[in-house]
Amino acid sequence: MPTPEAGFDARRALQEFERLSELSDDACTQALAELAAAAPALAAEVRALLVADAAQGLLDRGSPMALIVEQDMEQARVDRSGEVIGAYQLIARIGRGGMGDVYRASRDTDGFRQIVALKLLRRGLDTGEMVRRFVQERRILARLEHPGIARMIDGGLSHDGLPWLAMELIDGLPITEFARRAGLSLRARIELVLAVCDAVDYAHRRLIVHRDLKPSNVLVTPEATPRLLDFGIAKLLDQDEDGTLTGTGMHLLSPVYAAPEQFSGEPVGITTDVYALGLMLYELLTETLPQQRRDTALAALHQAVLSPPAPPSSVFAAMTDRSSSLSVRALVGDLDTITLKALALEPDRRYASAAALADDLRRYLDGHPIAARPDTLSYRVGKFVRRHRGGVSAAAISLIALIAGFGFALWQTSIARDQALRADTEARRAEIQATRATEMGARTKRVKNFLMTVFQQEDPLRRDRRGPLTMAQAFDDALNRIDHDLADDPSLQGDLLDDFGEILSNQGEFERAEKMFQRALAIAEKIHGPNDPAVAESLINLAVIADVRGQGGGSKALVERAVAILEAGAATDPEALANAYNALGNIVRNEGDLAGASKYMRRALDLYEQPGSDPMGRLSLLYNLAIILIDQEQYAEAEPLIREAITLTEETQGVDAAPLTIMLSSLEQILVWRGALDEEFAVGERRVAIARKHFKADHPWLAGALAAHGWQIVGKGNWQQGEALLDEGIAMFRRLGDTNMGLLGALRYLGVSQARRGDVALAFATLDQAYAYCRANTGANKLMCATIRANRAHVDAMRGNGVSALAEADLALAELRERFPRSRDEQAQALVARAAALFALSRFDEAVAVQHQVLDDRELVKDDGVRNERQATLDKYVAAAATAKQ
Amino acid sequence: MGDITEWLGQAFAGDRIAADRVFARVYTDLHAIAARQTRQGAMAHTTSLVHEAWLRLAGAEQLDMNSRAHFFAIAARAMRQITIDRIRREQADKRGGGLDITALDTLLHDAADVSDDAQLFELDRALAALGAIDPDAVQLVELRYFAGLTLDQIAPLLGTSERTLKRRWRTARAFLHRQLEGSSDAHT
Repeated sequence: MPTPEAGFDARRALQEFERLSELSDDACTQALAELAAAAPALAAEVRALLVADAAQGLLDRGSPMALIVEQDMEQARVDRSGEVIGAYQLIARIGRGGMGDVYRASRDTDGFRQIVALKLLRRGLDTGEMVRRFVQERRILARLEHPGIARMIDGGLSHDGLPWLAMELIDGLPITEFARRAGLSLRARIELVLAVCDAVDYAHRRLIVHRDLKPSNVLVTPEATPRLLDFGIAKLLDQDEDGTLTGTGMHLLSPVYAAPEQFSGEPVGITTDVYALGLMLYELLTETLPQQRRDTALAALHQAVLSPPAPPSSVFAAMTDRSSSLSVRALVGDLDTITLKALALEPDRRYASAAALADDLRRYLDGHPIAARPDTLSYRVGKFVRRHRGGVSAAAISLIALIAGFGFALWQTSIARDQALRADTEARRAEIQATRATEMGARTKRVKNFLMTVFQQEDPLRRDRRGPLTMAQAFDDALNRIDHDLADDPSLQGDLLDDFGEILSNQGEFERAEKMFQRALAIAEKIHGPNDPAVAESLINLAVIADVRGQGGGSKALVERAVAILEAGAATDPEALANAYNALGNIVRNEGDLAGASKYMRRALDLYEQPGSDPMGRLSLLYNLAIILIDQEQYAEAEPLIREAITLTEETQGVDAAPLTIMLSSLEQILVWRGALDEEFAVGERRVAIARKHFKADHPWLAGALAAHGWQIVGKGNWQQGEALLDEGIAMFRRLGDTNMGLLGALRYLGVSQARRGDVALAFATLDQAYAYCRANTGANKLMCATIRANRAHVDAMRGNGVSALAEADLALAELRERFPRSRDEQAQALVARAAALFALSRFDEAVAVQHQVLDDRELVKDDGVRNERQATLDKYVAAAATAKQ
Repeated sequence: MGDITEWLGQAFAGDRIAADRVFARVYTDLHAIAARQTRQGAMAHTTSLVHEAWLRLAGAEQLDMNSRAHFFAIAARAMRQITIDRIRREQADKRGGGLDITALDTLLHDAADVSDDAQLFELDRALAALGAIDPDAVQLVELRYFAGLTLDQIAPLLGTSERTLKRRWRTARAFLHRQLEGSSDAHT
């Protein structure tokens, strides 16, 4: 190849060529000659260029790309059996897919033959970046060792540069095919799914998502063991690392089994696999796919999957030819719920993990209530355990919870129709259950009829007169009807009152709930006599409500009475007794008897450990114990408990489940103690987000979250924003009629914040108000009240009222020392108040001494802000003392 | 998905990994499009391949003119790269596989091979030489020859007139053909 020699400059040659090529032949010849005279080498080059210009050449032919693409496609069809790839000999092609072809291959090592499934990836997946990632990921996948996952044995690059993988060769049928041929029963099918869930969960724990779960990737061996194929390969080959179906991804994934987020390009994660498991379950239960997915045109598919699928039971019912091993009745209810939850459109609404899905399936198989609820909020306050004795099934209660609190117009939306359908199926379920418990039969019927009249709107003519009802109105309607329709069955009346009361208390409507419980108690006593276990339930309900509302004085007696009644029958109903102890523990804790509370809680936990007890009960006890430990300042011990409770809740109810608002608040306390302020702030923020999401109207949990986070924001120096949230929380507490911890705590925060930024008058007013509540309320939390007393004294001192401030501060300190000897932080606050009072009385030396005492305790405050403040105050006192001496 | 613009920018600035990404994305699309076209009976015309790939890539995003220009430039460069890589591999295979790729250049150079394959190989080198003098010309060749775009399609991408492009193409073509001849001349 000619190189630029001293003879000519290539650039110049091109320029000259350009000039000359525009000229006519004659002019061109002329110009060349002139050029030759001046620069002969250059001219020679230009002539050569002109010659090339005139002739045909490579660039006049078509682009080589088209040929290459054709070649590749050709090659993709080529059967490469017989070739050697890596150390393996390809025996026969056994499959063709989007990623490439699969061959049965063999390798002879140490005298024995190993047979594998060798997946040879196709052209286009072999760019530099892809190959690099392939090598990296392969090592991770090779570490997956689980009986339910086909092992990856080997991998590499073929001599012509194609990535390949050698996997365990599985002899089996796709799971759906297997179930069909074997005529598997419902239980057996679910058990297959459970095995698959276990395998998937195993991989998830190693942070590997499958992304392409479908029946053809789940082969079941003749021994009925499911083995998963191609785990993580989708990620391996994912050119955009996001598992999308748009553009190139389409060739790697099967759109028919893809989750909605894979269509729209949103992040793929564990819940994407959960979705796929849901589809698999769906297909196993109904032997078909959801309607929307049977249309295979991709664009249509994308739209179609955005609408939720029909419940398996309805699909099944509509089918004309179906396997006799399944039946509609078996599918109705919980299985519908489980499947639809796994198939929720938004990833957050699905089961958070394959394990969670498996757990619910197991609960279903064992006949226990499942954790998933058909899109309802079911959360617990104080009592934590659902106990229904009216023959009303768990599902029916959740149904009632559903209709209460949502402002849907019953008539006009399809939701109403769905509810009606659900009510029907629920009613039928109740009936089924009833036939098993014969003495409950008649009662259940009554309940069923009652419920049906409420939300099935049997009598459209009657409804029409009043126009469409909202759910809330229907609920109120039901409450009223209890009196009328069930007047002749007071026992049922009482039970329903309890149940409805529970729902109300879950919504924060404590006043109304209390009235319900009182009536229920009255009825129970009248019918069953004052010492019957049936009475105990109502007693506990009342006690919990009273406690939550700050009227603790009476509640303890109620629970003690309940405990006494239930102790007699402890053997037959340990759960009820555990419940009672749980409630009792809470109450005495609020009184300050932490040791007693701990004792009761542990007793309750012991009762709950017994087989057959409600797993949710364990959750509540974990939480309650954690609280007690926190109150006893055993933060380190409490932390793992509360974290476990949080994780349990997240797993069973989702990462933004309502109960998390109170659990996270306990975690917050621990974090404060540890001084992990950043995490505390993040937790507080999360609490508010979750609370706002769930509670659109007033609710004590939302108020609590607002107050706590408001305080955290204040802690960062943002008075305005922080106090705004505090105000919001306080107002909400007031509207709720709360006069205990929630309101008091928030008022205290507000007062202290106001004091810190200098508005002493306002701060005193706030704290005075809080303290007024304390004095008016015998059940108010003593520790909180003592602290408020101290804070109030401090601010009083700042106003210059040394005498009263000192008296109050001393009283607060005394109370704290006596009742809560380990409340160092609170005692410090009282001491600081004392110092301020002494300062106000010009007893400077004493003030300095006391303030010093506080600051010397190094362990006390981890918040630098507070420490600095106190130091600054000390300096002020010292200065004042010095000046006074002059 | 919105990373495409970023990748394009990076790739254009010389980031090989970004280029790989964009390319990988383009390449499989080409396959799909070509496959569909073949099924529909049409020949795989390169222009329509790249255009369709572009449409797919841009999707609903309103990628601007700049991104579009970048895209095509990269697609074209990538196509050049694939072609050369492919030839190397094929030649290595023909010669019994396992050969050191770098040694291949010499082999092809030595062999009196005037097949298109060998010519393509030389073209790649010639383009490198041209790049030292006039990088824009190289881009033009990639777009027109490798990616199969027409001049009137290229003009708006590069922000020049068709006439200017015509002139520049002529010059580039002459240079490159001269280089190709020159190399075969050396062996006759």
